[in-house]
Amino acid sequence: MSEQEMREPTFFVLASLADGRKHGYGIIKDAEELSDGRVRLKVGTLYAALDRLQAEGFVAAAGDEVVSGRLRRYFELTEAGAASLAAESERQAANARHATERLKKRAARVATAPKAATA
Amino acid sequence: MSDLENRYRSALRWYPKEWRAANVDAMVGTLLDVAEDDKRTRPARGELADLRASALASRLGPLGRIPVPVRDRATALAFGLGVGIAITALIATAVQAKTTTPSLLRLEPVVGPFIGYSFLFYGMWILAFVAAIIGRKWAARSLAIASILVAIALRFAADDLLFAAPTTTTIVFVGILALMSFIGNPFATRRGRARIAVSAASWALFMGFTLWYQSVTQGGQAGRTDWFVGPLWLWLYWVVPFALILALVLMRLLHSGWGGAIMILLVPIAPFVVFGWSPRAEDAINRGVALAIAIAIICVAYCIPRIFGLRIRITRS
Repeated sequence: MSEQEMREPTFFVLASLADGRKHGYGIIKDAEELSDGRVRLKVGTLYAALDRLQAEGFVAAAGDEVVSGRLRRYFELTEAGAASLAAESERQAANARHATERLKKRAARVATAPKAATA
Repeated sequence: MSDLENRYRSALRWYPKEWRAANVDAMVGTLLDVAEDDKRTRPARGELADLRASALASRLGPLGRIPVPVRDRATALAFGLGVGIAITALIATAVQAKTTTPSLLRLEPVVGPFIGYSFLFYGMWILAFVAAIIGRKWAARSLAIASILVAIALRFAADDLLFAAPTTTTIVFVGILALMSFIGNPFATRRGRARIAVSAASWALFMGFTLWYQSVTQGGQAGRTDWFVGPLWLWLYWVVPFALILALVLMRLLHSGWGGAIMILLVPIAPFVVFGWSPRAEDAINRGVALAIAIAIICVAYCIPRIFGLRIRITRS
């Protein structure tokens, strides 16, 4: 079953990993920054998404490190994940392009339409 | 080990053992990193509930691997069905009290316009719907689950089992719908909430129409002027074959996520339709015919193309 929609958190997780491997906390901060503060991933949600993305082959574990006594697991984007992210980015860009074109046409129509008489 | 870490590790015990062995330390590390960034020494509001919900979701196994948009749609359909049943039942019991004539079954309003106290059960679903529409995911889910506890309490307390409380079958069926509100999250987006509203309105219209039709045809034949409200879920039997056709077309030909969502919804509906109790023989016949059609549809969709090597594909230009 092909699925065209990608949820926003998933999109930002993949986008966060596009410029290199990151650990969980790094992904959360990056997703928040990329979404201008709109998306603040909860840790449970993040790991559920990472589990699913790993099962789909879009993300892979990329090593563990211990920092200040805490385990940090790194994740990286796979080629399939990069392709999926590219397809979704293109879809969103096309949507935005179409909407912008329509808005321009609407603005032109409103500008040239005769103004209704006011009572 | 700090108190905060202890609380996180305690919540993470809800995950399956194998998952914990592989991931719990990395997840605790991330949780502590986030807490440190927030300058917290206690879990954030709702954080432990989110961890437990994620843990339960991970225990769902294959269901957890169903794409999120499909699960969201299935939840919207199931939650809407629960609300649709509540709306129909509330209206039907109020109308029934007004239109009934003294007969073998004397139907007197007990509270307001309602017969019996089952309005408490259905009323909680209406509140759950309101919570869902304003985006209160946990309030919506909690009210739906709490309604089942209320229904069970009514069942034990009722002295007139026919109308004072929902039937056991209805409680189990609606309880499954309440649990299905956890498999997806349509509450978070405006589109998801609109889907819940459309689903609820559609189910209510469908069931309202079938009840009205039943009262006109069978009530009239029996010489009664009142509305006969049978088990509402029973009227879903004719939905099954049509829903199956729709789901297969959406899944196999149009590759739409709605096909999977309908299939998920059919999982709890089908057994109730097939095995649900009804006092009337024609229900059994109708259900048998509906079941036969459903099996025939599955054969047409899966067996015949394989036997003859057919492959149908619709592509968008």
